[in-house]
Amino acid sequence: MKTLSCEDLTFAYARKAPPVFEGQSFCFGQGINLLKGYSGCGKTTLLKIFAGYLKPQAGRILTPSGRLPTAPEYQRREMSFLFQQFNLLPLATVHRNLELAGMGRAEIKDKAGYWIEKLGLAPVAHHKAKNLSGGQQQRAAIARALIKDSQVLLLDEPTSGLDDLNTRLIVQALQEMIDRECICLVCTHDQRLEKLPHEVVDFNRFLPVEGHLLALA
Amino acid sequence: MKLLISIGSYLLKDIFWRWREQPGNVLTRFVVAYALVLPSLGLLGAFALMAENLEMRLTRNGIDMLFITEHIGSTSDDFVAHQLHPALAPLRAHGTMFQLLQLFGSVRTPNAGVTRAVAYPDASLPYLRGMVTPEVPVVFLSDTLPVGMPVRAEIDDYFFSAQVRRPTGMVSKIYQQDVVLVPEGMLPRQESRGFSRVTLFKADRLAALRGLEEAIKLMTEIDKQNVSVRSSLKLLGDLDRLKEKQVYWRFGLALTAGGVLALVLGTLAVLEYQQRAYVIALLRSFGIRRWMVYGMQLLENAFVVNVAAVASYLTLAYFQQVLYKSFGQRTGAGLSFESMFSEILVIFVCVNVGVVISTLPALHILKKDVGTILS
Repeated sequence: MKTLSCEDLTFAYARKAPPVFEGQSFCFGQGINLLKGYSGCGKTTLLKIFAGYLKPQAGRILTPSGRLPTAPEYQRREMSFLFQQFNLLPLATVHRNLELAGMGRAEIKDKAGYWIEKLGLAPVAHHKAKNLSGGQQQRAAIARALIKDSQVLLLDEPTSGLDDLNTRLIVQALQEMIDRECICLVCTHDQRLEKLPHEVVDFNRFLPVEGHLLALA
Repeated sequence: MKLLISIGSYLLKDIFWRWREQPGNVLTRFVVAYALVLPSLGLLGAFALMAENLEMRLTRNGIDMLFITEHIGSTSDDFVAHQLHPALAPLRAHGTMFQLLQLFGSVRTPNAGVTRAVAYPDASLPYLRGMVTPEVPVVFLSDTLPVGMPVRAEIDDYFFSAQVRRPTGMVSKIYQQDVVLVPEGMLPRQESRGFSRVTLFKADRLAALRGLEEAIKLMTEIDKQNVSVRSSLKLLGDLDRLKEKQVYWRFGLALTAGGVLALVLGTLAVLEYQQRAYVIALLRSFGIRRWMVYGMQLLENAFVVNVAAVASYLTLAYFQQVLYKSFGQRTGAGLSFESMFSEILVIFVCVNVGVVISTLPALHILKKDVGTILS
């Protein structure tokens, strides 16, 4: 079974800043892995490290293909990332955003059509991303992440701020991904996603006791 | 390839969108480049024009020639002797030399107005080959009239006919206007009034010319002779000095233009990169390499600056033509692209080096992790 893991991970945002991770190891298997924890516990940071968007100060990241997470090939073909702020290209249409993320692969055109239809984006497929509503942007961002059919799917708060209808659409899309044997890491606080079959990783246990208590307070 | 085109087209679209959203940004770059290149090109163009004019005068005058003019009055001993001035005799060892007698009085022609009459002694015939022949001893030297055309001429009520020839060889260097060449003795009345004896000397070695000129001036001064010596050596010195200055100015101006451009565009690029960091980071998150983003920035700046530089050159060329026309010069006079090519090249190279330097701060921003920009 393919896994996405890291060993002895150490990461801090600045040299003098307190480390987010210090010698920690994680291993995630195929299926949906829900990362739960309070804000600031390092969920998003871990996703970004697995995506190769942040470089750890120490430790080893093992991707399913064995490539480094910073390798363009890994970022282009093997990994998809959904940002908390959707981060669509504002001047490109929804369709073009999907195509660009697909990196010009031939099969992407059909897949773009499929996901646009599936996530109810057909009426706005040729609208510029900057002109979409929040829900539409989020669905477009999800479509962009799913279109690559990648082995590693990293989703950062995919349903935050969405109504039930939009959330249901996204849950349906993720449900489909489970059958495709990908490793899916989802950072979320949303109870509605717990309907999906999943593994839960509680990030709160990595917080220092004082911090944990403070957070609870 | 498809991917590259796809990304490239998005980046291009992004560039045009930014231009539309913030025209001040692109206009600043354009105006700065334009304002720097225009005066630089103008100044260098002026130098090139001066050098071109000097070179033209030098070529016309003959760089390696001396023209020695002695005024021989009808009472002078020399008038009877018709001999070469003793001070000039040593010149024979250093080059080619012959003499012409410039007569007092003007020749009138119906076609070309009033011209000068010049008599040639038999000894000078070998140097007039191609113009004067035994069959046609009297010729009208002209750059404009058709060769072979007969010209009716008159001097002091004496009428004669001459055939049009083009001035060639050493003669073409001394007379810039039309002139009538007649054999010595053909116009005795005019010759009897005295004449200016012009010695045309062409040195074998250009390096020896300055020394010979000095020697002749000195000897004629000692003899208290009324002799004038003309050469292009002063012009040649002027040209050398001008070219030296031209080199300093060329590089000075080009480096200044490039340096200022690098500073201004660099500052703009940093500001713009900070504004666009999000889009750039997003593109990088898809696996687009840094060099593509950097390349696009470079291309954008290079495009704006080079368009501005071309516009400066066209402005300069246009105003030059307007100026020349207002002075009644023909179209196409003045500086051409070919004659200014080295100036244009130096400016363009420096300006483009400035463009490259201006994008270097952006490289630093591109080094930032995508994850720290995208949240």
